[in-house]
Amino acid sequence: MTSFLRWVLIYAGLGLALIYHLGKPADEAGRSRVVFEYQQF
Amino acid sequence: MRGWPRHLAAMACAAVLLFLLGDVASHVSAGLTLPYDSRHAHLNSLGEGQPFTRGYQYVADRLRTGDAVVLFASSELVNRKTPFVAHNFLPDRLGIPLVSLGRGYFQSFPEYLLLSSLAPQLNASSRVVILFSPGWINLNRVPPNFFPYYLQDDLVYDTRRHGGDLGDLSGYLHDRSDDLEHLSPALREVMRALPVGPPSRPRRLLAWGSDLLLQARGWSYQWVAALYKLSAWLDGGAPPALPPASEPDWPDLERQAIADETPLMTNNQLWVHDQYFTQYLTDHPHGGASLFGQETHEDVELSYLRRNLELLRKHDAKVLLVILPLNGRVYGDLDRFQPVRPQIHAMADELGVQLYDMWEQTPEIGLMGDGMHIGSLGWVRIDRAIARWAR
Repeated sequence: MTSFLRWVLIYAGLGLALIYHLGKPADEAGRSRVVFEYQQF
Repeated sequence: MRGWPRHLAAMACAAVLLFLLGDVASHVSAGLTLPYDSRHAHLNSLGEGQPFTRGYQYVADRLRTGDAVVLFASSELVNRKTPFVAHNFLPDRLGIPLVSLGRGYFQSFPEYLLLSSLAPQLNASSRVVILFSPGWINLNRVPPNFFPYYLQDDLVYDTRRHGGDLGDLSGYLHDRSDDLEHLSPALREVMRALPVGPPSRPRRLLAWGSDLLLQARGWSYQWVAALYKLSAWLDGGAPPALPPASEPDWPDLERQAIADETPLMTNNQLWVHDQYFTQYLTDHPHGGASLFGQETHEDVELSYLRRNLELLRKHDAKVLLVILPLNGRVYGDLDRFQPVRPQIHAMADELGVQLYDMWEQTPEIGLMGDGMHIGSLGWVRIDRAIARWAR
């Protein structure tokens, strides 16, 4: 496997983790699974 | 190519790969159908005993394939266990697949939020029954403490993904923000993406950022939904077979239903269950209780009912609307619903929706189990109306 392809797969894996993190709904108590929060204006 | 250019190129290739795979996830989600299972014929809430996402996808599949009637109602579904309740009787006795969804306060507004998010699933095969209780006009949308039963992030992401309207949801969240607890990140983002109040540059910037984040989460949700569906599809065994379709002796069933209810109504003349009478009606032993508050909200309730029916009919879904009766022996103010009935009739006529109006049925023992919830006889009549409509 070339070094370039390895990096593509690494970034795709990281992207998948981010996608799962973003798309996963919060649990029923509404607790966040998202680590960042906006400040309320 | 070395250094940062190589990493940027690798990131771009990974992004293209993921984007293409997003289509695959979407096709997996649409191609896998969770089978109808009569053991899950009633969902008290979408998250009842299972992840909300799984319940949501299960209902979505019923609407998309039309392999089961989807019935929306509120507390009458769970008020008293009777063998005649539609989600037991129709699948188990008549072989008609049906899934009911609802509990107290599942009224036109939460129904609208759910139907809006599931709009892409609606088509000419979809079959939906809505039981409309006249008591619903007492309430403006849904009490905040019941809100989480019906609305989770899945609805928000799906609605945003297909460009649906989140304005009503945002309006509700802003109105009730003081009373709502445990708002999920998605709901907070909806409030920020659709703010109220005078527009300002920071507010507009925040709204733009929140909407972008909602879009990203909506796109990502299809992956999660595909994973849930794949997992449920792999876990699930074969559901039990339904009995062959049959036509029962309806008059005999009505007699059975009356015989089922009569022994439960011995300490009152109001034709309500003894326990209910003792608990709620000792101040009104001869009836005359008030159901409706000083202020009613028929305009809000009917506007959402109309939007639900319009949405369903726009996609050619088959719809049966049932106006439930109330117990005239218990309440003395039922005439306040009279002006609302013609409006519902006109709406159903205009939109080509079949209507079954039980309001003026001759009062009989067993039609109601208490003041506002139908009893076994009421369910037999609804079962019969659904069976005739579904076939």
